[in-house]
Amino acid sequence: MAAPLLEVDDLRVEFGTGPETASVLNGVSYHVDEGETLAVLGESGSGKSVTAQTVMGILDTPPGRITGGAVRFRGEELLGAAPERRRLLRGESMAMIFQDALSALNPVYTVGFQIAEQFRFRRGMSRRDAMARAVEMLDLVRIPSAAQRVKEYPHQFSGGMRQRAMIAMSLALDPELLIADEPTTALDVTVQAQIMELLDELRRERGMGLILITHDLGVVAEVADRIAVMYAGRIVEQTDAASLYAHPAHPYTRGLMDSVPRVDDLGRGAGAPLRPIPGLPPSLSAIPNGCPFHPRCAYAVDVCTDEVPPLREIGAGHRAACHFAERFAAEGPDRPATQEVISR
Amino acid sequence: MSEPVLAVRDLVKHFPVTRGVVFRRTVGQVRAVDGVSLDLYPGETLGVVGESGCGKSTLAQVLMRLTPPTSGTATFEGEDLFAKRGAALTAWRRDMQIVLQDPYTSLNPRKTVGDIVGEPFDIHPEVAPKSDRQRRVQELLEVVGLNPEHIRRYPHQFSGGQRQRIGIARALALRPKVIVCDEPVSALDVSIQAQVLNLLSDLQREFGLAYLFIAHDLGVVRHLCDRVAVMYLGSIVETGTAEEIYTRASHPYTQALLSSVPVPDPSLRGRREAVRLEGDVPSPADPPSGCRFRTRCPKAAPVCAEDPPALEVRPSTDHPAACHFAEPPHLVRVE
Repeated sequence: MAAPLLEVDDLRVEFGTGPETASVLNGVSYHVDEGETLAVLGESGSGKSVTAQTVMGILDTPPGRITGGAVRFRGEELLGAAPERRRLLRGESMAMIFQDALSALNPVYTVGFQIAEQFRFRRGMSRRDAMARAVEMLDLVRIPSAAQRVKEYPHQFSGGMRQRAMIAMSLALDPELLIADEPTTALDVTVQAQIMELLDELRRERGMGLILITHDLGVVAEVADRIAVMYAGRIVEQTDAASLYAHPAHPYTRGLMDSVPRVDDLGRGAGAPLRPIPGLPPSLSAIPNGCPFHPRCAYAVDVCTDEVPPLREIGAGHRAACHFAERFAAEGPDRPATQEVISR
Repeated sequence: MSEPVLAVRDLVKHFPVTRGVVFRRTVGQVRAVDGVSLDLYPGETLGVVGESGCGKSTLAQVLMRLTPPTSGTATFEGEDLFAKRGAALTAWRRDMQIVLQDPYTSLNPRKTVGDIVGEPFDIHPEVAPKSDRQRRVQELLEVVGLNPEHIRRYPHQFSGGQRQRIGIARALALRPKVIVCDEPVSALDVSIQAQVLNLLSDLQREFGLAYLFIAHDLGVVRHLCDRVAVMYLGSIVETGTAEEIYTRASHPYTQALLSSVPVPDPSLRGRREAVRLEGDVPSPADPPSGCRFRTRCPKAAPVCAEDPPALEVRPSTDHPAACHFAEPPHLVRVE
């Protein structure tokens, strides 16, 4: 079997030194194939963005420190690669878009200049040709009257258009892997729907691998092929989208699903309390012994406080890091199915 | 039904757009809130939903008397809210409090939790004598699920969800009748968000509070609210009970909003033919003529450009919507 497009293997990252050392990633492994969407789902501090930054080679070191593991792009080890090589890969092979497009774009250059820059420096094009390509890119992400818009500055764009411009910029050199870090979190729902559709379409057209980092269970359900759920710097569950929602095997995954008030929720009824996960995520400089989720887990027993559950296979392509994963997966989720949806 | 505790009629708030530094002149108006009417009854939760820039937060600020209205009226328990001055205004503030969105900027970092939650008692000393104050603050912390021992800690020693609880304790201190919640959970992670939502429901039951709940998350609003008002570009486009809005939305904007929300259920993928809106919300400084929504509306017709639709019940619907072509949504059953 050929090497996957991207493989992250037992990645470990720490921040700080001494007793304050925070173990931000504690052995994260996942892979993405060509044309596939992997969603990395987790709350703040779970390590989902740090993993992506390490993959891209934009993690600030210090304060960050990579203490172990490997990142392989088409089989090529990246963590030990020369900075020149990594620089070459960024943009050409892998690109990233960020949550806050306004601070990711340079406010003193026009949007067109920032897209054209890549064609000039990487492709050696003239200013004029590069600008013409920038217009094409804006067209591709469906920015209306792209020929005029290309001369405008980021502040003249709306939130949704800025995110489109950033997508155009990341796709300029035709990367094989796109990492989208919370691309729609700052946007309104109607615009979020447009952007997610655009991303999904571009991925399909280009056969790109897409890593979608998000905390939104709804967005994940609509576009992901496979899902990795992260908690306290570990992957706690990983499987394809359909089985994650139908047979969540980790109590944290189940807890997340029970915490979300759903717009289509007819079964639970108004006023019935949500079932939140009690307590707070652990401090990364003092991760609990055993299963890191055990202090918040309703099902925790002695073994959970003593032994770290490994991420193990519990079904075809379904892996979970819980001592009792099989039991939870068999039970299925505790919620009513959607009954009616609004259509055109 | 009982009398509304808060009744708002034709509320308008325009912000001037000015040019020039020395000779400042007004060149336009941002119509942030443009004719909003609503009633809030004791003990109920009224949700106000809409996208960014629709005026929902400005509405909250005007109702809190943080900024004066351009025109329109509001009555609180039958008394004119905007006529209150001096002592009457201070006394009224006990009855209506606000919980803000960002728990990181809405708490003074140089004050302890005890000072923050106890500050309302400094302004309204008649509520709690000085000797009793610490006990009251500790009670409040306990009510919102914080450790009363932490009274001397500073905001930075708490997580986001805990800080939001501090903000709620501060709002509860004077035993208000109405709390305006301006996006109280949108900055929180989902597992923490659910904890705070449950807290808000418990407090409502315990203290008989009425909430004006401003949010953009339609799932949260459905969960918490009895009635819902949908805002678009400064005005209410549809209003009704939560049941009416979520199962029989009749305004095309509400329908599009509802169908844009991603549902956490992969088995629906490809089966939802969602109503997708094109483009962005127009600028409130230069809103379209007639119906404000017509530039993005899939049903727009020539009449929409000329005649602004009234917010009223139409023959085919059971609750008010501001659309000439309001009709129940096309629902598809999913097995």
